[in-house]
Amino acid sequence: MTRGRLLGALKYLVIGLLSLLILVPFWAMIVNSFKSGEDAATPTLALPVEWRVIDNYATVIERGNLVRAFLNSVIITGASTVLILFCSTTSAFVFGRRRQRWIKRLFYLFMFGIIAPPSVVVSTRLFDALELVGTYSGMVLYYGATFCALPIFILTGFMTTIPRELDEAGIVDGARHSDLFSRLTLPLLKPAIATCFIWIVLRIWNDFQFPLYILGGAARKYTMVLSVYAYIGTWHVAYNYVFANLLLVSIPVIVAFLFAQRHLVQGLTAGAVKG
Amino acid sequence: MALTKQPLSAIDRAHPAWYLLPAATIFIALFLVPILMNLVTAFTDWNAYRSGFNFIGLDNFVAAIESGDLLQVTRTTFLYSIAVVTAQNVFGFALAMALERKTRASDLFRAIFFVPCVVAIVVWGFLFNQLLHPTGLVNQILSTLTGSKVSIIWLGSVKYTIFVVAAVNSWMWTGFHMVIYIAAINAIPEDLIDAGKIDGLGYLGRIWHVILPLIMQGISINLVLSTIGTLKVFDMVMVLTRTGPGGATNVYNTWIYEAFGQALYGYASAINIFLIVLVTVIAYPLYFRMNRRVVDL
Repeated sequence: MTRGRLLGALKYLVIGLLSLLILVPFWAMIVNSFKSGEDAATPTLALPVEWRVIDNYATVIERGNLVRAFLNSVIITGASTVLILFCSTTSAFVFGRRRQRWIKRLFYLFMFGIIAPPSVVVSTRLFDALELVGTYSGMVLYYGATFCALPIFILTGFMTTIPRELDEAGIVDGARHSDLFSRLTLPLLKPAIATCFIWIVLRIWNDFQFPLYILGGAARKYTMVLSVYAYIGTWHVAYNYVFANLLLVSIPVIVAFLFAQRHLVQGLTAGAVKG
Repeated sequence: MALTKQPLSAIDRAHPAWYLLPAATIFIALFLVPILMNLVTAFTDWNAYRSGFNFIGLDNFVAAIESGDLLQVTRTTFLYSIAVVTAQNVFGFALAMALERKTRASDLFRAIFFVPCVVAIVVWGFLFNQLLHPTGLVNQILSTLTGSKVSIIWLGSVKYTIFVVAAVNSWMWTGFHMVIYIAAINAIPEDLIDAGKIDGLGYLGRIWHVILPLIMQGISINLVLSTIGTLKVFDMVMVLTRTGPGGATNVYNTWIYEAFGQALYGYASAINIFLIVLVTVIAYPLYFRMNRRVVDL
């Protein structure tokens, strides 16, 4: 018994030390974002000699045009999420119920979209020809096409676990397809929709690669994540500002994580325990 | 189509196929069509410096091979992928074993290990770019711990820096894989674990003979996700090393971006094909193994 206790304590000691690997970088980012320029030139874990909280953050928000960037992120993420959820629920409604050969084949075609990377070069030139480069709609359509496959897969998987008898009962009661979709299927899919919602929001909010292509030089449309890119390759980097900017990019998703933690983890793990 | 000749059931008719239209339209027009176009443009000298383009056969592919870049980039991408997949799954599983029981403490530690993966890769890439500086925090801490001055040039090695990138990426994603492993372990019926104990299996014996065989589903999900993700890596390399030193950490997606930046669209298309084929060929079989057990269509 005492040996077990000792091992338990030892385990948490090791885990505690390992968690420092996560906590120390966080601390470094936070504490150095409060320092003056010269103090942060070589970032350390020490507290600031001179606290520059409001100063630093006000400068970063103003110089980096971060209010604008925040709104851009909200618009692009929000609209893309709506589009993807619309496309994936409507198609899971069919994929989860019908068993015709061509429908299954179409489903497998979508599955290719989970695995294959998009053809980003041709897409960008195509979007350019359609005058979609540097626009919100370009970003939203691009995300719709690139990220709809996984939600379709998750929602279809969930749909197949809902008993078909429920549809039959609805049909007997005279429900039309629109009733079945909005009054029966959507409410039942809610947990899976929540999972997809969180996945899509995080994926798009945090994305760096595709805005780099699709937004091109349109700095006014830059998202929060792209705002960091302004520092890359600059000769003299003021780390107090960089860290403040990094923290501002992270805060919305960390807050979202704290609220949605349970959903996120449950949704993530649903697939791992089946079969 | 002949296939649809059999009469539609009431359920079929209540789920009309035109509900597929929004997703199918956008996916086919903006995802599949560009890939098909890519299959053509890869054989052209299309670029931004003049209008129109000529078909040049396999020249782009030959150039990619002859410059030595293809070999180098493939090698780097694979080294990165293997390192990350191994680290994330080994450490993810080890953490899961340590934290699988639900207690207050394990809840807190799970959240701590998980949280890095909800933050943008760019944030961590940038932060570690600074922390791994020769006079940066990592060397400062190592100096304090060892009592002598440590000044490792983490991001300056042609040979090893790709593993530093892999380490930062694994640092970020291990908690994610841990969570999937915890769910898989928790789904094992308690009596099977007890049976292992009664049979006299030790801790490692129980892991090898009882737990691992019963979490195959979780393992394959983790392997698929980390394999697909690492082959497509872009953000981490772009921000942490900017493909340096001297292109030593250049991977497929950064290579494509470079060619795109030089406006060599035909050449970039050819590289893109290499990537699409590579990911598909490696991930498809893995993926279908997983898929078979997850969705029963």
